[in-house]
Amino acid sequence: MITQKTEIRRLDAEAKSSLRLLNRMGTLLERELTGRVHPLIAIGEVQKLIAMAAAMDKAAHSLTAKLDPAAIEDDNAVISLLSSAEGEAAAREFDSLTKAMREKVEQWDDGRELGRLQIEHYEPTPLTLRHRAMNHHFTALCRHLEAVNESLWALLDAHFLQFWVWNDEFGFSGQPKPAQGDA
Amino acid sequence: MKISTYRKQLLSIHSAQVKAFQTLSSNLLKEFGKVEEAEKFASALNQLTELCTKQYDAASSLFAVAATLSGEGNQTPKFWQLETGGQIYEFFKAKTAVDQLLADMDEFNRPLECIAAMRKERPTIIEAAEASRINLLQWRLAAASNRTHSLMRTAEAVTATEDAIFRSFGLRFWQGRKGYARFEGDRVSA
Repeated sequence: MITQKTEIRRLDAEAKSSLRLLNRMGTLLERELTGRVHPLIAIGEVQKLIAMAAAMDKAAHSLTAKLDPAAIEDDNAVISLLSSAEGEAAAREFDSLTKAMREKVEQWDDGRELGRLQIEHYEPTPLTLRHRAMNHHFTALCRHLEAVNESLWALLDAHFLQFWVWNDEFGFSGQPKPAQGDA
Repeated sequence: MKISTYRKQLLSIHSAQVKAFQTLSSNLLKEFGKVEEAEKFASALNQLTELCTKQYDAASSLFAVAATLSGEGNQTPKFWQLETGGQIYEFFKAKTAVDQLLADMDEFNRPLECIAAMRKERPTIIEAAEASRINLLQWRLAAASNRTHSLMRTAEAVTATEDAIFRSFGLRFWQGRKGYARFEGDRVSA
């Protein structure tokens, strides 16, 4: 098995290249949409997805950067990082960005399915072909955004950052929970 | 942007995606291919990589034929015109198998399955060094679980890009069309 340091370097590289690829796909779709109206995709939405990926990357890296790579398994370091104001803000930001991303993707996959099917049935004019291609391009962009998100989760996992458990299970706020039954 | 330019860009993105997929899967296999506890996980990964490679190879050769046809003035070729040595059959076969495997991997979550199996074995492991190795492996697999999801989403992204390229040629396919396998699994509707 490779060392932890190598693993983290590798994970970092994976997340980075994934993000680069996402930006490339997004830019291409943006350029396609410039000066052309698509019935389902607004150019702002594509930009929003790209911005979302960048923000996720920033939040994840602001967390991992604060952990000493030599002492990655140190529980105390993780806990003190997540209970600091900055750490908690970054963790919550990443968490809510993930939720927002899932919502957006869901909206596209399920909410716009009918619209996409309709476009598949239109007369195959050159414009329709483009619209169809762009539909699938956008789907690819969504899948890729999820891939970036998962890579970043992997990076957080490798740093022993499991704040999402605390967040959901215990309402983690850095403060100990008041004991049950206390007045 | 002309549609041919758009298509060319999509094609280069397609090959970049395939490369990203292959790097990710080989990284994962390098790490877990030889770990005994992760045997099931590694075999699922191997299978996925093999199938996806088949799908991409078939798709690439179909794109090449379609590009030639559309270059000859046939703006919207039909699928039957692309028939060269059973590539379409290969493509759909691999694509369907990939879809199914992705749904399967989502549902059973192989890496997490491995972790659960290891947890069960843990009480019997007395040696501290072995316990800490398993412990570390669990964390690695937790990260690997996310990476696997990332890998699966990348595979789906590649499929979607292929769809986009096919659509830009005016090609649609209804046979073998499947909703992309998602976490919930209920979106896999034929």
